[in-house]
Amino acid sequence: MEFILVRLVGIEDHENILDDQGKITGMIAMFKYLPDRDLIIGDHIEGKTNYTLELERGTHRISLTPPDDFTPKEMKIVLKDTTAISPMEVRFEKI
Amino acid sequence: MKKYKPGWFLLLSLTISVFSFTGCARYLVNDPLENTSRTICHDFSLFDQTPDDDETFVILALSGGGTRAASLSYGVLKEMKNTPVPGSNKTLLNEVDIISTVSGGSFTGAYYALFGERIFWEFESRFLKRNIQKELALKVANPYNWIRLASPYFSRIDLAAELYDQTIFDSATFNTLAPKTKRPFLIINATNLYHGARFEFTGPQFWYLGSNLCSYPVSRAVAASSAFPFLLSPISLVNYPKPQGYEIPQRDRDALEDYWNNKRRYYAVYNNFIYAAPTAHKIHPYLHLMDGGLADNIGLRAIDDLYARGDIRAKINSGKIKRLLVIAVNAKTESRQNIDQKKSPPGLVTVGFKTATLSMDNYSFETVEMFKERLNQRIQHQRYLDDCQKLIDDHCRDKFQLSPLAGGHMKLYVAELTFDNIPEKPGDPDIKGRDYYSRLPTSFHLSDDQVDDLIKVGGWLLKNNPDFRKFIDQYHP
Repeated sequence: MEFILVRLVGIEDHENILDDQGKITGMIAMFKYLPDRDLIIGDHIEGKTNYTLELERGTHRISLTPPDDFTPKEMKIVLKDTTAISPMEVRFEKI
Repeated sequence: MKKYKPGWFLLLSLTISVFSFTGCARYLVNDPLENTSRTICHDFSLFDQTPDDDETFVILALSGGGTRAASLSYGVLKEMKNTPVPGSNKTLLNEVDIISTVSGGSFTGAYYALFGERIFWEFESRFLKRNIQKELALKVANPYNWIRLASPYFSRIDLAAELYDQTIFDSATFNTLAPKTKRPFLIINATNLYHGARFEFTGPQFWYLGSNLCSYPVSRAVAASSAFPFLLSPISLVNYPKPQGYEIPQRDRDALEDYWNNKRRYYAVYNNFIYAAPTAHKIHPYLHLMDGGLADNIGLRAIDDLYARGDIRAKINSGKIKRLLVIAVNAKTESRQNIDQKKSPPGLVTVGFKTATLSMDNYSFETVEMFKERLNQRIQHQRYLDDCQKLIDDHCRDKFQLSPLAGGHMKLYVAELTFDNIPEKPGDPDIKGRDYYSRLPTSFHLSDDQVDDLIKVGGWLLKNNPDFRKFIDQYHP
């Protein structure tokens, strides 16, 4: 069996990247993990975000249950070579 | 004008009626799906249960082995009925969620799934203590049935199914098992002769055939499951053209991409998909099913599939199961006979029988061990995570939390009940030594005393199984 960890992340804040003169050269988005949400694996509701799930090695389509406020709408992954301590991490972003 | 004698007329009309009658004798076919909007009949994922009902998840796998297996399984059910679940007013039998059956075990499993605790006052007289073999032979010997058997579409297995239907299963169909709250969920296993794969009588399996399981008699499923090669003929099913809007589940479509990633997952779907592909009803219009023991004589492969990729996996990942107990009732015997005491090599019949049964026994052993290893791996992963978290807590300032494993610290138990567990001198006056049980024949007729002995030893094997004892001792509501 293989292991997967699905997160739903939201942007909590932005932090500016400054150069030596204190000029803003970029921005880093600060993410936070949002509370547990039910997952859809294949066509079944199975498991929640923020938990490490045991799944068979191979191809899986992962999505989240409504509300439809996340992107991408679905992720197709090939799960292999994971352990319970280092699962494959998949992230959806909150829109 | 030529005159015909009345005798010739009689013979001619008799011949015509015989031929028209044999043309009429046909096996009962499965019904096609009417449309794709209806819910699948007899589908475990559709069973409505309160979350509490899944906390203790009990599975029974009942092996093949004729009346010997049916009696042993029945003895186990009796003991489960007498075993209270600690801290509740339920018995362990009330907690059974799934029964997966093969051959002889299918009679016991199907009877309990259909009629519940009626089994305890009916089953012995309705099945276990009957001479089913003799009754089948009498049916075959009946001239009325000779005519029917002359049809290419009617064979001995259809007579057996009729006998089971009328005298054991009260003409029940899978519709009786369909109500969404009626557990245990029954999985009767047979073998598809085309590719040798396991075939289960469930709604999702019939979906691949474009067929509705609801109207199909349970007796025919049991007959297929117990159609021992050579003695009985196969049960046949029709693979239908699929109605508009028909699709196979997304999970299966994903598995079909996994030939190189996971062949076990790929073939579990592919063996069914060949019947569901768009032109499959033309390429594979029929299926012929025989004894489930040819694919898996212990009934655990169905459970392994549900655990690896099916509804048990979904329940574990959703954190619904706290403790999982699998009781595998294996009625295999020590079929060594006296082969190694004779100078001359065994004859054709012995070799034929050995060829049919040796692989079943070896494969059953491997199936149980493989399943145990699978569950042990889960326990190990839980332990790795705990140990790793402890190291982080002890040595890192930043108290990083590893993500918890879905299902948490689920407890898993596999209790295999086999005659090998019995000592040669058990020290219990009701229980005979191992050799006695190991030499009982595989047939549909045992003496009343033999049946009684098997019922007693079924209970004894459960009570004295260390994994089962562990389950009871560790049970904290």
